[in-house]
Amino acid sequence: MIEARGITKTFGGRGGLLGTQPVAALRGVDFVLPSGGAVSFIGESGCGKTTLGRILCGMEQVDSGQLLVGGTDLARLPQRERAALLRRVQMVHQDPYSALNPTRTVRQVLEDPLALRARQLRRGRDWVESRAVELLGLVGLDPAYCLSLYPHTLSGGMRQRLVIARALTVDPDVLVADEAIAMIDVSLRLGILALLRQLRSELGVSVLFITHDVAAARYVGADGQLYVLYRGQVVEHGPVDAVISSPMHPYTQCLLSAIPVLRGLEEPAAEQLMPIAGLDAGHEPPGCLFADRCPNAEDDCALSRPTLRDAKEPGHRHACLHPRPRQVVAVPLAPDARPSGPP
Amino acid sequence: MSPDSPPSVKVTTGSGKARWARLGRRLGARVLTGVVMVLAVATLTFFLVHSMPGNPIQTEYQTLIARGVSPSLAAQQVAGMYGFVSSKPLIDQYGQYMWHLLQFNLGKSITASGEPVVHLVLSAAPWTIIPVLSGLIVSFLLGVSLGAVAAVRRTNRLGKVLSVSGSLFHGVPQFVWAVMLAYLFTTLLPIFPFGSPYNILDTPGWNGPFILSLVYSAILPVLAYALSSYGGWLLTMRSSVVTVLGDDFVLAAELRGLRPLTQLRYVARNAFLPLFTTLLLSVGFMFGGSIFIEEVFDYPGLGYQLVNAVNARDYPLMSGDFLFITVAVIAANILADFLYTFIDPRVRKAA
Repeated sequence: MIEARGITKTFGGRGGLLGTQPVAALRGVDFVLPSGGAVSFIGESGCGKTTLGRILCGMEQVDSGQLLVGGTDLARLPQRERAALLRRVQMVHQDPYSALNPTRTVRQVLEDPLALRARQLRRGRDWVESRAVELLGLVGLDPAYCLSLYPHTLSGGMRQRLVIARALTVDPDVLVADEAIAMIDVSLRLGILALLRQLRSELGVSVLFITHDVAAARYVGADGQLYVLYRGQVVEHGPVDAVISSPMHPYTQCLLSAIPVLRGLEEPAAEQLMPIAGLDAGHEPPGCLFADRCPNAEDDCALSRPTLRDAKEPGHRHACLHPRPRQVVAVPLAPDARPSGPP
Repeated sequence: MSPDSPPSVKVTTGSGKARWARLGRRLGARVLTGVVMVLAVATLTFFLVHSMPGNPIQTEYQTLIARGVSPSLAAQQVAGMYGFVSSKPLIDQYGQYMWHLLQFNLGKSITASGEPVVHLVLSAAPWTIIPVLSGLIVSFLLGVSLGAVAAVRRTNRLGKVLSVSGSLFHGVPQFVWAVMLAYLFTTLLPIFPFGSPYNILDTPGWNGPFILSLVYSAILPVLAYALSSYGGWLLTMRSSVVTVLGDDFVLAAELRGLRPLTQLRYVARNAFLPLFTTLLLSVGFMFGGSIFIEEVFDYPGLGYQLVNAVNARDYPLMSGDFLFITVAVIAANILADFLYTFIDPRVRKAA
């Protein structure tokens, strides 16, 4: 289980010749990722979702706030133990082309980390080989066909499966999938999403899903939580279906408006909310961060920054002073029906 | 769940025997192209060389006059050269040249009194290859390893100092290094010999003192070459390593906790790929010699020989030197192309 309490991260602002303006990547983000659960973060480019993933993998340190992994505060651990703990969190990269070493065969890609794992578990060479075959089977690749191939001979979808298999070599508790399907052929995306969902149910791996694709987030973590990040602040969060079917924050509504209405899954209506201006990352208003671009902004939005407050459903919260229900709404999924295609 | 695409097309490299046969065929084709290229270059240089203003006899005559030799005596002296200069039409000379070339006969030098060009070129070659090759190896090893350090430590002082040293060394021309080193260590601080590639008191041959003096005299020219090319290697390796470090597979290796040595191996192998071709091409161009270094340190190498041949309009020797350089570059090219298939799996299949 991973729990984040008010984590903040600011980049730049340390000066330089002309003095760079500090950019707040995360402003006090709280979330809980239960074991075997799924949490999705959505938001536009630059909203801090990648920074969040990097912090979870230990590639960045938080400026303030606490990150608890299995109940232990990371900041209190010495470097060596922190590294060991963070190894339980593995990343599935966005670009499956740069994520694989072009000079190593599939077998070598898997066996390097497996040899490491074998030493920890005091297993032999046989274990490494059988585990490599097992992992390939798990992610839906044919070991007999793949093992001796180099990554460049695999398709994008096969590469991403291999990246996932490689992440699984060290038996992680958490997979951070940062835009894991963004660079994959559209026709192969669903396979990867289904794989992530399968890993959740079969291995109990929790998934932190970072995306700007609402539908993908809904597919992987239908029973999980959805967080909407805007400029490093969580502006709305709640159970995935609650947020998607009744979004309260205008930014969430804008994100949903960016998706074409799908007949049968959504009920079209007149209102399609669009942001009215481009993102100005340099401007730090005292009030609501989204007010400059918000179609619904009123005078008091510029005065103080709204904090998260409860919406109608339990666990659904948003940070908007003047929320209005969205008129275009998703048709709720039947609770037992697992979607067979992209929702 | 099924794999994304059924394994309908086998893209494996096939069985060992078939693969070698394919490689052999490819090499054969490349060599054939190389031979055609060499013949084309030989034709081009033959006509270019003969279309230069002046001719060997006239040039020699003028040189003698300039030295204060009386016209009649000069005419008498150059008369001896007539035997080596063909008076046949150029097209006939070309036919003869190419015919001889196919028998590996490059003709006879005009200035060196009928000495076969092949002998002259082969005797000059070691004086170029040994110092330049040593310099190339030293600068490559130094530049590549320091370039990797400069990339890994690019944000701190050491990395910055190394990068600046690379740009600085890259910017200083070869002859400046040569002259500077010669001045510093043979005149100002006379710790190295000067004026000969070996101690003339030792008898040439496979004996200790001669080889020792050979190595000792080579230090400065090797250093001059190494210092002038070190910067280029450093900068290339640095940018290559920086690119690879940005690849996610390096990050993934770190996240999985692979040992630093394994991570370094991943990076080095991939960063080296773009440098490999450059290295082999440098080996090819090495045969052109480094005229300045040979001039400054009095090495009777190929560059030195070529300049003298051009000045004296020694057509066969010029053509021979040019041809030698051409063959070296083309051979290095073929070798680079061929060996690259072994070090980069992505070009291994005929895609």
